[in-house]
Amino acid sequence: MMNKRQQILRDLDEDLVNSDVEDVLAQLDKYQIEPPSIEATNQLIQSLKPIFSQEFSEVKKAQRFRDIVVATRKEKTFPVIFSLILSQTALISKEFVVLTIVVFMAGVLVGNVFNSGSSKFLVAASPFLGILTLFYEYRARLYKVEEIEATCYFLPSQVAAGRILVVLGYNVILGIGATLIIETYTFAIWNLIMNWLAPLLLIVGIALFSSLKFGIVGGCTVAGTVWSAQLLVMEKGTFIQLFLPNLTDVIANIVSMFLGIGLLYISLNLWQKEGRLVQVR
Amino acid sequence: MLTLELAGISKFYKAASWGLRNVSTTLTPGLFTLIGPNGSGKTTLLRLLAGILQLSAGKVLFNGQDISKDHSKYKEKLGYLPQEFGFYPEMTGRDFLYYIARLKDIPTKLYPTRVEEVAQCVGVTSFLDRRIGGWSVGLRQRLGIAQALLNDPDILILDEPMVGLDLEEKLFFWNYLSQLSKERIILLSSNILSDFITYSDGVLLLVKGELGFGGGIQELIDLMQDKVWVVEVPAEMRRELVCKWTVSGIDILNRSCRIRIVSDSIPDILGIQLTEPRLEDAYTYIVNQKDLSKKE
Repeated sequence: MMNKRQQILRDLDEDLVNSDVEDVLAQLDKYQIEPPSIEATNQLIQSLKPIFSQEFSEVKKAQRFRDIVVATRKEKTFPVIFSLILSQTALISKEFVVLTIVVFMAGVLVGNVFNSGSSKFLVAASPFLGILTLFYEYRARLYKVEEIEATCYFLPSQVAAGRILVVLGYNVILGIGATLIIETYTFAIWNLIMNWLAPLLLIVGIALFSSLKFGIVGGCTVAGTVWSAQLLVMEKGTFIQLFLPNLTDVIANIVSMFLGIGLLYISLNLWQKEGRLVQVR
Repeated sequence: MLTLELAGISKFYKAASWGLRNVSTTLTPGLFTLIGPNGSGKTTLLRLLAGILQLSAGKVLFNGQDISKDHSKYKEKLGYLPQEFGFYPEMTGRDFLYYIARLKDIPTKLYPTRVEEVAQCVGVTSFLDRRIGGWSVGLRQRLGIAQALLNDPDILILDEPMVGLDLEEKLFFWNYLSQLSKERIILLSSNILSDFITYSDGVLLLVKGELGFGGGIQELIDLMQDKVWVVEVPAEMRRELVCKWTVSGIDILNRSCRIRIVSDSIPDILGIQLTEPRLEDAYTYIVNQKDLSKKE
């Protein structure tokens, strides 16, 4: 304490023996101050907040980003749907693309070794590729991304529709690529396209419709089971032909396509139900 | 001025259970914390405000407009972070933010600068080009907050955003959200009372789906004037007092304990004294009042 006193006196340019200062210093020892309570500290902070708010509002603010977005949107020339589809293509990773192309095309090329094996492979594998792509595009719920996506600008049903377009687009491109490897441009090419496109649409429709009840994994499992069962009885005809034996292959394919498109349409219409997004008690 | 009005909003689930009942309040720019026991309806309320769940009754009005009339327009001004969320693991942080930016219909040429901006705000810039699958829990939480900020929303709804963050990160985000709240309505839920007391402009307390309190923190604490009592008793008496009275806090001392009791009238315990109320006292009092009224 004496050292502290000396220091204070030195700061004041006072003499150590100055009795007035000594009196003041003696008084200092008597003062005991308790540290402030948590409540008092919080009260002080709350009372300071309005003062800081006032200072903040006086600071010149830069243009808000959302105003820049609104101004930039006016310059856009292509429809919003393209933006939606483009966003959903981002979900298909490069690894997925490379793997599916390699496996699919390898199957087609290997099938070439056997008599019309490529065509049979293409018809049999297209729906499985469709199921795989559908699962990959619709795994938002599995990874718990769905809730974030649901609060973005696009409606969940719009996002689902965008995804279906990506799934079908990707599969159709691969299918056509494989078809061109197998067949040169003759009438037979259209027959082959119908033979893989019809079951692709039907099975993808079954998968998406079933996923409304069973989730994407369950939906794809149901669709995969249906198609596997179909492959077992393929020689006798499609399931549709088993029920309606007078149908030709072409008509049966058209019926399958319309059934598939119908199931997709119904699924997308039902997509907005909130029970799908969150667990409803 | 921005306003978000909750007008008698209710959510009814199947099996005759109300998730939320007749909640009414108005929020203006500021930082508001939603508190309440587990199962009180906090997440339900936040999901209703985010437009994920449909109202069973009532309206949500943003600047006087019913949000159900034009959801897309409302969602342009909304940023949301759910309680449980994830990412596509093969994506990098940048890929994911670009993906969400596209879903939020942000023009493509604005992505690079905006993504860098929000990444810098939340402190994930140096991790942006790494796959999210390898990120820590704290970094993922920051990325979740970043995606909510992408569209520079007027309304920010965050469901337990501080989960998984360490103390330093929490302090950073509380300060950051406090700054943002000068021009925005920010509503977040929290289970830890001591966290938000310094930063929140107001608090909404939900108990069993009903709004037990909505207003300023000091206002909430002031409700408890002359209702909070403290007594020091031997440790073996603790259990008896806890069973008999509504206890809001216990400090364990050497061979005794100091117990805080909330009660409208003075408890008949020897040596009991009135004391200054705290937020925990108000919370305990209101939650227990609601419990009692439900039992009646």
